[in-house]
Amino acid sequence: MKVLFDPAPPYLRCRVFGHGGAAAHLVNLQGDWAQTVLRQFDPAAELETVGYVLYNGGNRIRAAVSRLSRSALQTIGRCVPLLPEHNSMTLQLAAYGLQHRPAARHLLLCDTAFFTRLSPVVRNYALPYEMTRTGLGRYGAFGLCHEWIWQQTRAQTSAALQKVISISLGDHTSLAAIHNGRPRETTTGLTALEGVMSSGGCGDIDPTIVFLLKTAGLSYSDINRILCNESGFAGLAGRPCTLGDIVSGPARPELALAKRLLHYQIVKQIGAMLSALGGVDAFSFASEKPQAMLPFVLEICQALAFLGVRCRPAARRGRWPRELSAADSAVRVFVHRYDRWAVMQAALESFGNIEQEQPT
Amino acid sequence: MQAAQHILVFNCGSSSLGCKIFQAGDVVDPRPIFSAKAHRVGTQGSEPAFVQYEGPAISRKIVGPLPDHRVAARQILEQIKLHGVPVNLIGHRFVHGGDLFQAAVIIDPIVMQALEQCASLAPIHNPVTLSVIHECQETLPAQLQFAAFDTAFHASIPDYAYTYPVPPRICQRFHFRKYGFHGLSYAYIARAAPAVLGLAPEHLRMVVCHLGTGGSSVCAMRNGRSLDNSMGYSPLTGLMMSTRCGDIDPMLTLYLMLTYDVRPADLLELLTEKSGLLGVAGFSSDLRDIIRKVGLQEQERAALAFRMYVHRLRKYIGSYVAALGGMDALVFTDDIGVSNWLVREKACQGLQGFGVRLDREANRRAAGATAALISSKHSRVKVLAMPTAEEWVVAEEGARLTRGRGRT
Repeated sequence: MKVLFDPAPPYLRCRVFGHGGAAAHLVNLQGDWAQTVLRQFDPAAELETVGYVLYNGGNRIRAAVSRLSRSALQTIGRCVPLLPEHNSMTLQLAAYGLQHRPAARHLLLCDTAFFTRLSPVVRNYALPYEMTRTGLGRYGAFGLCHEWIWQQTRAQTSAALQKVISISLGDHTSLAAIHNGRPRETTTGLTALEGVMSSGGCGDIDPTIVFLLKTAGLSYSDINRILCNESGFAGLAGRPCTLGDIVSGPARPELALAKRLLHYQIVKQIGAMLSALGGVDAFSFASEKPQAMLPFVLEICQALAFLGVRCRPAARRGRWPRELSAADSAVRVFVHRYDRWAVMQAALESFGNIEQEQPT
Repeated sequence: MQAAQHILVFNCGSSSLGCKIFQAGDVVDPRPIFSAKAHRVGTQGSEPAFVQYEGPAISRKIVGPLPDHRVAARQILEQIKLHGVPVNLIGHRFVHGGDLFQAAVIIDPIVMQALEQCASLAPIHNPVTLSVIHECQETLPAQLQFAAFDTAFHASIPDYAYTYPVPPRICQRFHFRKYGFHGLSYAYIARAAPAVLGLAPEHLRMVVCHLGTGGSSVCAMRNGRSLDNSMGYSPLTGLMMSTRCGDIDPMLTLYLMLTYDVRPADLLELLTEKSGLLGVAGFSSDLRDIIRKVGLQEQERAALAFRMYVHRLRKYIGSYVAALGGMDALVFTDDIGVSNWLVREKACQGLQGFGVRLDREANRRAAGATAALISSKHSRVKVLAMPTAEEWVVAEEGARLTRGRGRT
């Protein structure tokens, strides 16, 4: 049996694999929750692998999947300030798991590891060097997803395809510029707040605004809540909204503005990623609901017609992954169905294969 | 026939102070009768500050300390008086007029109060412009003064580009939106570039890079109107600049306060005066100093600073090409934009996918005094290095404002 823990404060998402399928759990984090969570798994049961998702490993964790040890816990501890709520949840659970399930294999999945390979030119902020030298920088986010998009795109094509712009569409949309499997740019930064606006996050805004909110007397937690939870789609629509609400034929004017804004931000970011790559061979979109996103993807492709992007008339039908680009398109366009649990499970299992292949 | 005016225009850059005097009859003559530019005002560079004067009676460089813009303005006004150059109207480029000013305005005591209220909107520029206005009131008290605003050109930015997706109650309370800057420079390029390019202004898609020694920005223009600008609510955001950080994660500001114990009072100073090229390179905020050190082993940070500057510029150009749905012309302007071939060459590398092909020799020859076409004949996009004329645009606004006032 394999268990995968995915922090989503104030909840913990949990998935059990093996022995007849998979199941998802939401755990309410109250009291001694780590103990409560692990007690759900009978000690007698064959708990083979426990995976923990770490959302921000900063400069310290450079492998997408790694074996978790007691010394790794110290490293995770140093990453807690980068994303306190999520990372402290991972740390607490991993510490408890290592102690109380010593026979199981404990693996860490790090969502920023892919972007540790970004060049310092891209990774550094233009802040005093002494600050960035200590590791403060653009760590990126959703690395597991972007690396998966790259792998899937390569698997789709026999031709040499080197420069890919991956576009992960969701309640938290992000993009990455990837050259031969190596990231060259991404839209997210120190945190996932940077870049494209999200269901509750403001995305790129003038940082002076944060300073003015603080000067006006708002507390850190107020500012955090406003920028991370009450902005983005929710801020424009005046209520909680998903990407699906925004892109599926909005009737209300505030949803229409949100869609125009999102479309504009994505198109601009595609241009930025393209200039970082110095050209592009493929645009590769991924979504958990690709059919619902398809009209929006086609609208984005229409805005890229100046690059020679042409989509097939039959692009609206077919299986996933699907190529949208026509034979005469200068850039290939793919859409993938993204299942993050399946991707994380595959990452865990492929790590197992790598380990088994190595003679020890 | 309008009586001739002599319009003096001050233009405060973050580390420079430009001054030009134009003669205006029915139209403003674009050739100034006098010009001065103070360089390295208040900067920490390896080179000394100086003022370069050009005029019929004076053409010289005066080297000496320029600790702030008011001192620089005083020195320039003294030279103007000394050489008897006539002045009867004084204009100022005012960077951020917020919601209070949408067009140029004569400065009277009420307007002055309102301008003072705008000081904090652009902490590097507005206070120094106000100090120059005060200096003019003291040195030339009889002369009428007016202000022209950088934000006005960007009034055409559409809602999807100017809206910050934060809750409306916050936007309304703090007047948060993208204003955009360097509008006077962009207004000039929008008017003058099509003729130089030999392209019709209608439907022309231009990306214009205003690269100054202090502040820099990029503007996406369609039909001569602004579609987007890399600066935002304030001139802090966008490109990496001499001492400004440009784009950062909004959460970074909170992180600096919480983890690095940066006090809120010091935060803005850190981001506006200690970051950018100075922050990364460590020894200078001047791109010219930094380029001289690129390639030296002991100055790895100089190379990093330069590459970061170019990378971010290229990203903005790319994003605006996509926003415009293609690009007909790419224009580099202001001090760095017209005088630095290396920045242009590096910025255009990687833009081949957008149809940019630079003529490397023409680019290296372009010196900055006049507009130069630097794209190769095979380039789909025309690339231009072209001096801007913000001061002339300000003078035109002044002539328009005073027309019919019966005052010369």
